[in-house]
Amino acid sequence: MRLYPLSDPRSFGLPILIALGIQIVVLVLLSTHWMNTETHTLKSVPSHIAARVVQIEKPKPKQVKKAVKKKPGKPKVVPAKKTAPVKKKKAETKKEKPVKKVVPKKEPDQKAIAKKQAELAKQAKEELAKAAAREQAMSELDALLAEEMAAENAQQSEKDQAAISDYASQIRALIERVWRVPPSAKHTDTVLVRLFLVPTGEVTEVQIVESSGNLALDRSAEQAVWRVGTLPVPDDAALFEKQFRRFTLKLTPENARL
Amino acid sequence: MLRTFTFVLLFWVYANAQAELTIEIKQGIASAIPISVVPFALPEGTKVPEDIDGIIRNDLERSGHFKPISPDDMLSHPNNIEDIYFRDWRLLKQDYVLIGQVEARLNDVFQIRYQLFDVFNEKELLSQTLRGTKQQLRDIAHKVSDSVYEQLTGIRGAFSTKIAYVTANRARTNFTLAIADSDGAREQIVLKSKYSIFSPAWSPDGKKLAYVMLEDKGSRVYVQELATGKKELVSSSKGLNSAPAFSPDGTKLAMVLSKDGNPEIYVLELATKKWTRITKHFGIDTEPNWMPDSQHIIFTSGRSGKPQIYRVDTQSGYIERLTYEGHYNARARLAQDGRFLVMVHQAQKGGDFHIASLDLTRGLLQILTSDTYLDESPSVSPNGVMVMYAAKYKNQSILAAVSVDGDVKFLVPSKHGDVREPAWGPYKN
Repeated sequence: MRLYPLSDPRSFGLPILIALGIQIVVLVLLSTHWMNTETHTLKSVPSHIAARVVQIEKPKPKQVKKAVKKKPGKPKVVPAKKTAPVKKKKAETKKEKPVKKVVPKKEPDQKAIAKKQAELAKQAKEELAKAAAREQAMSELDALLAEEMAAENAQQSEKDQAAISDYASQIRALIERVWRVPPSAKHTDTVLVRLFLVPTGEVTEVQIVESSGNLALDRSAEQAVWRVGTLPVPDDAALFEKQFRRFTLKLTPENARL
Repeated sequence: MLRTFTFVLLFWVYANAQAELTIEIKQGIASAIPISVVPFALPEGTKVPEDIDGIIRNDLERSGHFKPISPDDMLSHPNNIEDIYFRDWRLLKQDYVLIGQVEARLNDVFQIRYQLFDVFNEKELLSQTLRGTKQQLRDIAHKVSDSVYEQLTGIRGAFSTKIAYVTANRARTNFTLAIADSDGAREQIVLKSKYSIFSPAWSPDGKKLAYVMLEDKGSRVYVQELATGKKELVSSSKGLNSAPAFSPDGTKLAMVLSKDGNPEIYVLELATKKWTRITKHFGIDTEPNWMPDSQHIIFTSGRSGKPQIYRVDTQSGYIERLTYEGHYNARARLAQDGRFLVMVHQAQKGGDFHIASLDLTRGLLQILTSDTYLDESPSVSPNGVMVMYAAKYKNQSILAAVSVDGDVKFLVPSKHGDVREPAWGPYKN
């Protein structure tokens, strides 16, 4: 590759390409949420799901069965807990057998030994096969669990979405009822206000994020929030943390006269 | 190409990173702002001839944008910031508190200091110290109202402005042209006459009034200087001379003359006395009013059969019809830099005449008055939020005012028999 002197615009080519590459990598990384705080919220979500799903959501087990039926080859998988005891019993018998067989070893019978060895080999083989099956089953189970979890998550996020929009519309109604739009406001004006709440729903701080350019309108938005004082927020702590600890109001007085 | 792509990507990433919940609020209410104007501390031993905080309360309430509570309903009457318990005011559901002190100085001079507080944020929004003689106390009170109004609504206050109007005795043998504060107080007689007086119009500097007098020989248009009382005859042509209107730049006077047979709009250049005929139509063209650009004139015309509002470009002569809704629209005035027409409106034939406002940009018509009837001659405050008009009320001609939101209406007190033709003066600079 030819190197051009710095003064030559052609020398910019490679650096630009590299810079672009870095940008794209960063963009991709950013878009995959690799540094989102969601990891934190995801951790706290499952414990709540477990509690809730069992109590309220009845269709859940059905889903698991359905999922299982989809894989007809391994029906043994269903009683996941039962496989574990079976495994233990087998392990016990395995241990017992050699103990018993130690006694007849005192009368050396090569045929018998060979027979037993063959048996043992056979048993070992069976064990291996069983173990493999078990392993396979376990991995299947894991996959199923993951699937189930994903389904749960999807369902949960669907539920969350419903809750969020429900609380949002309650908050909207409260604010709209007390937001005194000053007469100087234009119907196209927009002010963005960020609220900071505590889990009781009480507002602790109000920030103008983006001014409308009309100070009276900005103040009216801020005051509307203070006037309501305590907003309805979800009891679900995780959901509160995720969406309602701080959020933004976008106020546009579309019914203003100007 | 690449750049746009990068921009789009960046924007997308930004939007992603901003995944914070956003709730859109698209409606507010237009209700009045609760404010407490606490009675000002008065000096000991000296009588203050005006009730300053009372004037402020009255001003703010009349605007329709405030709802001052009565001092009797207040839990305390603080005059200093240390005595303000914001929690008390929040309990009273007050958004703002205004406190003040009046001090007497030498030679009948008073010093007024006031502070405006935001109850929610517990901080001072405004504070000022003003001085004046006892004759100026009303002006000071209106000035405080103006400042508070502008601070809290974002619109310049117009409480310090004047209104002009015509009064007549019952027998209609004596007429006066008078000016007063925008709240009707401190009336001054500009002119007394046995002839009827019509159509007072302010010059943009607030120093002169143009008006029409119906004398024995016919109607005449005069311009009178307020300070000296000197009056000048500007038009006495054959037939009708009426409806004078100063251009916003103060150089021209538009009026209606019928010397050519039927009423047409003319413009007189005041410096050169040069007349220009603006309209030419066999229908009646009348009631001119200037657009803020001093080039376009809106007027009432019967050219379509019924009175409607039109706009003419005085340079090109191009005419455009502005009103279509309603059976009758006349006597239009402009508000908010020409965006709104405020006019006399009759919805259908035989219906009541009311004051209506038409948003020229959005085409929305709003009827502002309902309690009075035969509403006429609307005049808009210079900040565009109040309309004063003449109306019939209990068989008497009175002045009434309404906010352009149509919310608050009040009657302007008058000692006279009939009061008509209000003209709201410009800002005092």
